[in-house]
Amino acid sequence: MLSSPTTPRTALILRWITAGPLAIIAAVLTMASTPLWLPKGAAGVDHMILPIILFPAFWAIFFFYALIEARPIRALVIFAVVMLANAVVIYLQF
Amino acid sequence: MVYSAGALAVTLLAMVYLGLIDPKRGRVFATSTSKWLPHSRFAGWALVLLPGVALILAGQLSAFLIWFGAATVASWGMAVRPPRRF
Amino acid sequence: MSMVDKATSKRLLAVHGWSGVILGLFLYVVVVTGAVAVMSHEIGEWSVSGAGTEAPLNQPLDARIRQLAETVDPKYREDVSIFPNAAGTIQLFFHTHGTNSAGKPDDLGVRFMLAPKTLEVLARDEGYGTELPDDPQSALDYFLSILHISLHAPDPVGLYLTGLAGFVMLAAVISGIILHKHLLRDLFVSPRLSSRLLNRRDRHILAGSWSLPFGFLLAFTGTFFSFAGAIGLPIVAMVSFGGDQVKMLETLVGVPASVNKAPAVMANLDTMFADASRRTGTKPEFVSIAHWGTADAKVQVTTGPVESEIKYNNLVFHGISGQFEGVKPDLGTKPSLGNDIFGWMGPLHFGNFGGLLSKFVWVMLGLVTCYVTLTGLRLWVERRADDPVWQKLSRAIPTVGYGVPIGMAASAVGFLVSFPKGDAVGWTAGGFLVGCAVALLLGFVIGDRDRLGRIMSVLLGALLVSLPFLRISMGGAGWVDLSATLRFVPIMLDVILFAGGVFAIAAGLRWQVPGLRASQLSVRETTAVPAE
Repeated sequence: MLSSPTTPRTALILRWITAGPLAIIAAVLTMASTPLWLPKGAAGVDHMILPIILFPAFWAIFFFYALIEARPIRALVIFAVVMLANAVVIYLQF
Repeated sequence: MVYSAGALAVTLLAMVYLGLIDPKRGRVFATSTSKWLPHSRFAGWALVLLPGVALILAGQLSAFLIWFGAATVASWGMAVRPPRRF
Repeated sequence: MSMVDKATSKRLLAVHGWSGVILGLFLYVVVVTGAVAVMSHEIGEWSVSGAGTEAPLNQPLDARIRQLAETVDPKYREDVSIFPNAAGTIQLFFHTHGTNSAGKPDDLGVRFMLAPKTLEVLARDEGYGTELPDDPQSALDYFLSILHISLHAPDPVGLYLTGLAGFVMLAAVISGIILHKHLLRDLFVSPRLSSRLLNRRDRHILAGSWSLPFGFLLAFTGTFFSFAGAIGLPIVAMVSFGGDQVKMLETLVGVPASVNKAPAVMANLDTMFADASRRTGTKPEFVSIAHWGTADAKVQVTTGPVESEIKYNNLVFHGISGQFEGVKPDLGTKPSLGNDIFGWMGPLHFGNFGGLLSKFVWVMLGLVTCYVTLTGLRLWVERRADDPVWQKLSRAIPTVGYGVPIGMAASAVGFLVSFPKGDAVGWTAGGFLVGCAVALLLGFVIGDRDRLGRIMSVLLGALLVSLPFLRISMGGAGWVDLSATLRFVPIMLDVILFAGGVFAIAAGLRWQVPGLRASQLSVRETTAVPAE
């Protein structure tokens, strides 16, 4: 599947979807799941504050990954995996 | 304030040196780079960064940030002027 | 030494360019207001012609606070916050916690405004913290700060908008690093004069390269401030506390589980504030008292950073014994990595850690970022010099570029003329709107972009030059008075405004300063389009 050829137009649409909404959703989900596994630190606050501080970094990583990845379809798959993994971590909490 | 001013002075001197020996700056403006100065970009950059490292090692976080911010702005102010008026 | 292949580089350039051209002016608005907001405290002090007292929280306050505490409903004594505005007026707010009319958790209580030195009650207002009347003395600095923080749009829309500006800036900085193949090699190459386009390109790239580290820092911390409350807190509270944000905040701050509410007499506050000053060598800036008049009363005094540090300090005193109990982290009750990093965000973004010196540097960093944004936009239209549509749209650059500073200067005019009459809050905003409207009008009427820019520059300069005279003629203290009482901040800002104004007028009228603008004029008008 990863090697399936994509037309330039499909690639462009995929690029827009991954770098746009998906990068933001993935960043929000990553921020939401990180407090559930990050060590609480000396004062019991690290796991809550660090993900909030890192949110812009999460977004930037996803955004630029989506732009730099040569095959946009692979970016889509990786985003799906990241979002699913985070969703599972959050789901297990409840 | 004394720390950041001192550090800034060293860094800007080193920046002037780097500007004087910069090969591309000389080429673009068809002015030969300084002949009597030794050409070592490594030494120049080391001297630029040295005050910052010293401030961090001395635990002067406040002076370090002032130095860093002022050095980037002032160096840009220098680099943006054409060599004749450097 | 290109970091990415050609196709990726083309893609990144498209993102860099299009995001810049669509959101660049918006980003500029956020950055230029931010550069001004760095000096908001000083601007506040200037607008009221100096503070009434140099260290408002180090004057004898204890007796007055004690006396006023007796006049409020006992339930409001749960929490007390005390802080001065730029005029030195003390805001004293006895409050408990409730839910305001918007359904949000809010402070509820009685707020006193105490005049500097005399401690006369200037105003007494009761209600929810966010719904109390605005402080007219802070009208100008508050207006300018909120303009930067949320563009005066309602919560959370305004924060989303400025957060978006942060994302745009992060994207521009990072794509700029990846795109610029010869970043280090070109650091000392001044903008080439061989063609106008090449000159524009070099100007943008050179300023962009030198401002990369702080551009990244300011964008990152700014995005944090926009999104932490608007997105981060609710989401992390949702997964960690079932959506209870108040509970999460209490856990983050480290509120003790149980409190002894037995009545007790408070120790002397003045002694504690003086002790805090002695320990840190800086002035108290904010005081928060929990459980006033009970056995477990705690007084937390926040002071500016100790020399060589950048973080503010919270010194905790026992409210009844007056004993110093230690320094409390902002987050949690023990030192931690999370607290350290959180504590750096504010100083790194505001540049408020090293007195006027760090603030000046931060203003310059902000202005360089403005320059990068505007030169980037100019480069975009210069590349499309033959396209009439882009040339028409390009008038938006001077319109907004000068329009926002004109609006800010006009807000100061609005403040100065209305402050003596006491209705400064509305007129400050009104002045801004009038200034922006005039700029927009000029932008529509004047067809030639260069002429537009020059006229706007002269207008901005005239406004800035007039501000010191307007301040004094509207009853503000003159330089002699100010010097005699050692209030130098208004004088300093008078000088900066006047000098900045003269500079803007000179730039607009193309006054020739020998050697200063010659380089720009010698740019030859060639149409040679260089390779990327």
